Amino acid sequence: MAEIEAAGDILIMVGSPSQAISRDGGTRADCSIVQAARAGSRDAFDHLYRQYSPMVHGILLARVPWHEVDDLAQDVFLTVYRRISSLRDAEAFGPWLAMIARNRAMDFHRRNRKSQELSDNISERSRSEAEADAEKILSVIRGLPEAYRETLILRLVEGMSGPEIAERTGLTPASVRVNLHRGMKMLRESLGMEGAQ
Amino acid sequence: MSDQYLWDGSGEPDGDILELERKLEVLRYQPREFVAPEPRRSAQWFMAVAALLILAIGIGLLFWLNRSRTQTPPKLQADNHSETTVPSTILPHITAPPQFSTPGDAKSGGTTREVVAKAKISRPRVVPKMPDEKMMDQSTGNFAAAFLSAASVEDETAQHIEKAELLLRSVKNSINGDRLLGADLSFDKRQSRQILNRNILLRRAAAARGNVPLEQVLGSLEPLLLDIANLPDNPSPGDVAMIGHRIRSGEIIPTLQAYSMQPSEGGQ
Repeated sequence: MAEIEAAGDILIMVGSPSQAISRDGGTRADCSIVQAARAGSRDAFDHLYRQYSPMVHGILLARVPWHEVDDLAQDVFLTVYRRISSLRDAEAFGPWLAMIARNRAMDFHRRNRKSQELSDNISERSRSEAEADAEKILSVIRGLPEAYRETLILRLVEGMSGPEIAERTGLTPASVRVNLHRGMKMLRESLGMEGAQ
Repeated sequence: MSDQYLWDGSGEPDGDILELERKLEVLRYQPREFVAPEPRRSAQWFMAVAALLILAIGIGLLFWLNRSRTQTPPKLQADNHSETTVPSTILPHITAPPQFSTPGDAKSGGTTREVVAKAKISRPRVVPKMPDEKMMDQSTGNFAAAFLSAASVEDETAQHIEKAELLLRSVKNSINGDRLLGADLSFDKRQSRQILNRNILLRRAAAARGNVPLEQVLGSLEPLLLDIANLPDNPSPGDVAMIGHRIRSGEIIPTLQAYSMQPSEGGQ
């Protein structure tokens, strides 16, 4: 089947999530994969899962305690798995998935009113100094405006490039670039880095 | 310092960004296997089977309802000839109710016989199968016999007829020509009114059941009962004579007597 073969080519190209650089026609390949997944192809869905997991992880990381992110990410993809047949536009898969992830984060906070303070779990959950440092930086990023925090996390935590962020989330590259630039500037100032000057 | 490294990782690396990437790498997404939920085959299979069962039950119900509607009641068995045999409720050859002669008609008896002989039944002809069928003697004009074998008389009606017969006998015996013999007719008048009221009900019931002979007998009885009940306290000789004549000449008493002797189940 051509769609599955196309998915196989992309599987060869894709390495680690940080190196997920799509070639020309990536959007078309994504569309065909989405359509295959919508038709019930398990392989196609697995490909979409591996391709978009970093984005979902990053979106959740910007909103919920980091130790809840993995489980919530699984919930998001379970939801997508059940509802993907209702997706009308295959090209809107990324934004649609991002919306589901954000809604899932809101649901988490509605059900867990106690843990709305994202910084509550830092000292208790940290296992190492590296994790403690990461959580401190993360808390600073979460303090930035919402438009910047998500983009920064996708870039700095998940290792996604600007074009990838635009492609996956549905934002325009210009918007992503502006968010990255302004967000990074504010982060430097908040952390007191030399680059902020 | 350009933003190119921040944008797509190309160009000269930014120290702050590199440091942040290094520190935040511990929070990066670690690939996990996606565990898709098992398709609910058993549930789907069960639902499919349930749906088929419901469909089959619905079709079966429709079929059964359709069959019950199309089933016709068993045909009533009838004779080949046009005459319908009914266990003696309708007499043949009788249409018009027998007309009792009016005063002044010297040939009342013969007139009655002629009427009986010529009477035809307006309803479908009935051929009674009673053993006493031979008693039907149209030539002699035995009006009572004409009804005897065919009519079925209920107990209540029989008692009523018996009372009427006794009343008429009493009135007849109290009249000699145009004179009253002995006591007045006060008691008979009262009784006649009671019997009249009852007679009206029984006549209507007989008409509703289609018992034409009984209806006709009771219908013929009513005028007589009414006249007796309406007799003045001191009736004139003419009134008395008329009542007596009607009782004697109309053969009403023999008819009533035949009815009162009839068993409840007709025809034996």
